Amino acid sequence: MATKYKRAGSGNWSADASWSTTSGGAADTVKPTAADDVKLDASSGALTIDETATCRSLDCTGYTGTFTHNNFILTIGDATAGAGNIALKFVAGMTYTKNFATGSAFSFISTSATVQTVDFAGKDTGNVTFNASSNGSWQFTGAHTCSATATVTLTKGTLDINGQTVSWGLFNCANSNVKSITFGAANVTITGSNANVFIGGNSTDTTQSIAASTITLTGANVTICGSYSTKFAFGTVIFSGGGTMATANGTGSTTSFVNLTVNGTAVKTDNFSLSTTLVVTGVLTLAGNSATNRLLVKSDAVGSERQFTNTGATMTWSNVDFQDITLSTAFNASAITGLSGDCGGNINITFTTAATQTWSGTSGGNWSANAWTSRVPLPQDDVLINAAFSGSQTVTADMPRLGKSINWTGATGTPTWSLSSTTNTVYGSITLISGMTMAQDRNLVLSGRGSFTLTSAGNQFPNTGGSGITLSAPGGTYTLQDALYTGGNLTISIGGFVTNGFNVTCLTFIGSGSGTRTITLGGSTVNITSTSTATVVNNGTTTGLTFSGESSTFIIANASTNVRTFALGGLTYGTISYVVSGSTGAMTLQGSGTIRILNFSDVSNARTLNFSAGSTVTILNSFNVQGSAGKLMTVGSLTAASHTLSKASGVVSCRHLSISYSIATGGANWYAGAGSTDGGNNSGWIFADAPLVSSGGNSGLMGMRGLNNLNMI
Amino acid sequence: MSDQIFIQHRFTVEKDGHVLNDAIVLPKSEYEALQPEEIEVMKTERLDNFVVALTAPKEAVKETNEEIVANIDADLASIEEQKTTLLAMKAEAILAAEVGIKPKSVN
Repeated sequence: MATKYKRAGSGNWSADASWSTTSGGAADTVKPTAADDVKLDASSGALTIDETATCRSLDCTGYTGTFTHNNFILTIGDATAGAGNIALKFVAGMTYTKNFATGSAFSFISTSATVQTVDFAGKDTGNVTFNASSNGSWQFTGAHTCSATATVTLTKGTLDINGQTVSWGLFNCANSNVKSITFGAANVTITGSNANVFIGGNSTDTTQSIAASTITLTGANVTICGSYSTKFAFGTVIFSGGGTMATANGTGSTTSFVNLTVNGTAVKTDNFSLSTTLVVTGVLTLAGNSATNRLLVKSDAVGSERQFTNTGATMTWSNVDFQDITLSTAFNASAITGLSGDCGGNINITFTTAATQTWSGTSGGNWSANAWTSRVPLPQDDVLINAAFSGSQTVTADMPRLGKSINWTGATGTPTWSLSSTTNTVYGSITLISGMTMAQDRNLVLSGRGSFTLTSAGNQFPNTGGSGITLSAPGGTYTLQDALYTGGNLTISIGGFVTNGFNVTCLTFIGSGSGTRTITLGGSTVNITSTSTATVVNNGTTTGLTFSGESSTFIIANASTNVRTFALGGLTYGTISYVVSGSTGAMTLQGSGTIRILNFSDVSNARTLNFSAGSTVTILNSFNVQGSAGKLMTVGSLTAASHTLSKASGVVSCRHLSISYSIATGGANWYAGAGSTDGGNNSGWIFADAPLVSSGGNSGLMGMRGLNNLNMI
Repeated sequence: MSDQIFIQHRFTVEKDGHVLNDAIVLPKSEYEALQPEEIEVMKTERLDNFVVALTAPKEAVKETNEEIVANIDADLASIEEQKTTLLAMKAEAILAAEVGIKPKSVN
């Protein structure tokens, strides 16, 4: 163990010539080892960390030079405390230059039980890690900054911020090692964004004392607490970065705050998401930026209650809407600044009384800027747009939460409703009129938690740019009053969707998911317009789904060269048709299911019908899979293993098929007749024409090949 | 909002093999003011628009606009990191030139 001084002049850490055993002395030693205390003092020149470096301690007392840190870790500590119980000491008079936002890193690993001080003197570093294989105890004695992408990590040991002012990108102690964190009355600014920026460890291995601190989260889209079950007992926490701000915890854990503040920013889409109960004992501040830049406070799972335990706490709310939030102690938010919005599922909150809002004036404009009757509609307000618009006016829905039921009845002047500014959510019915047009390239979400209707009046939701219509309505049902057309995806996530016998036209139909939902198709026809390689009908995951489609018709409406997949999900369908002419793209029926009538044919070209290997598709009425001369339809499995086609009785009569890996069974006779080929690995198929069936009568035989062929589309 | 009575006139029309089940939904007073031929025109218009919509398919775009924005932010962050790296490489090269050290690649 020795003390190594950086010599005068510029030098690299890796160079023996940079070091001396005396201050200002000649080169008389080798570069520092883990047992050596390193000193940069008034006699020291510039130093560059040019390789992975190690020392017992680094003390820059009196140093006025430049310390440059490249993309290497400086590891500090061994089994004994550094000289003067200093692990690291920077000073104000030195220049510290990190050349890598994260990689110019420090790792503190001392296994000494002696508390060693760490003073970054407010310098801006890369990642900092505290990780002692045993013992290890560090106390900050100065301010510290690292960039928004850099992380301070407590892996193992004791870390005391000692009331200092620090600004870190992220803080992470999410591991199962025994560790202790103490903040004291520290001011901790977390600047990271788009990440889980403050992550805790397991509640049984992390000792925490942070309740006197103030933690300010300035980045956008940040989550705190992470996926572990630490029950952090925070002091004051302030979210100020906007976007989606969230808390996350393991199941059953509770996070507590003395004061929790969520400040929205000057955007309309800020939200604060709870994944578990949050306890607030002091002040709960939920503040949207303005009456139109509102803050949404919500559960992380639509329809699932999340709670603020606010017993004895002061509520300071403004410009805020709520969804699926319960208060342990009721609060009247009806008259708060900017009023309060009810998006459904809330308990123990008194909201602003609903009032129908009517569009003001005969000009278009932004939803957020219209005078309305008395206010920009809150989620609980019905909306009436019945103005005599002057020509070429556009009403732009620039608010994310538009209101309850939206009714355009009575409007004249052929206005345009533009849903192209943000994702829009409606909490009731939508009634359009024929004398209007639609513009849309954002998602429309239907979230009414009651019985509501959708009347399109011949309008088409264009849904350009990858947008669509989503039903996310816990306990709610939307019933079509006429045909629905969307140029995007139709997604049924939560709630009831009743087509009421009307046509539905959509790019893709998505019923797959896990939310409680009911899809009632009756005798409706669902036209699928997608031409992409995609799962165009996705009912693959049926958890929570009640599906009634036994009389429905699904039609692949457009020609394409791409493979389109229909995920059956084990459900029962009426008719599935892919017969559009000139379409060479294959269709995959994915998974098992039951189909009353399957139509798959094209007189103008060959194509392929694949089934999932191992699946069973049951045909109730007709298997109308037909090729033509020179245009074989290929029937097979996605992989080199068999699928099963089952029909209880009767005759299946097909022609011009190339079949492989297909088991035909169930009781019916399956014929692959003229022009068909046995591609191998089949069973149950009879590669011959179905026998003629006599129609009877004295005039002689009138032949019909089987019964299936009569069910052509 | 005062109550209104609406008439729902269901109809089925077909063209070029495409079948449309739709309805005309209007306030009672507006519906009763229509002549039968006007109703037929509305039906025909609905059918024509339906057929046009079916035969002008759109491609499915998997990414939402929010996802696109997030991806761009991530790319920008990566570019900032790369910029920092390049600046460090430049600084090291300058320093190496000053002290006469041979170039060394920076990880």
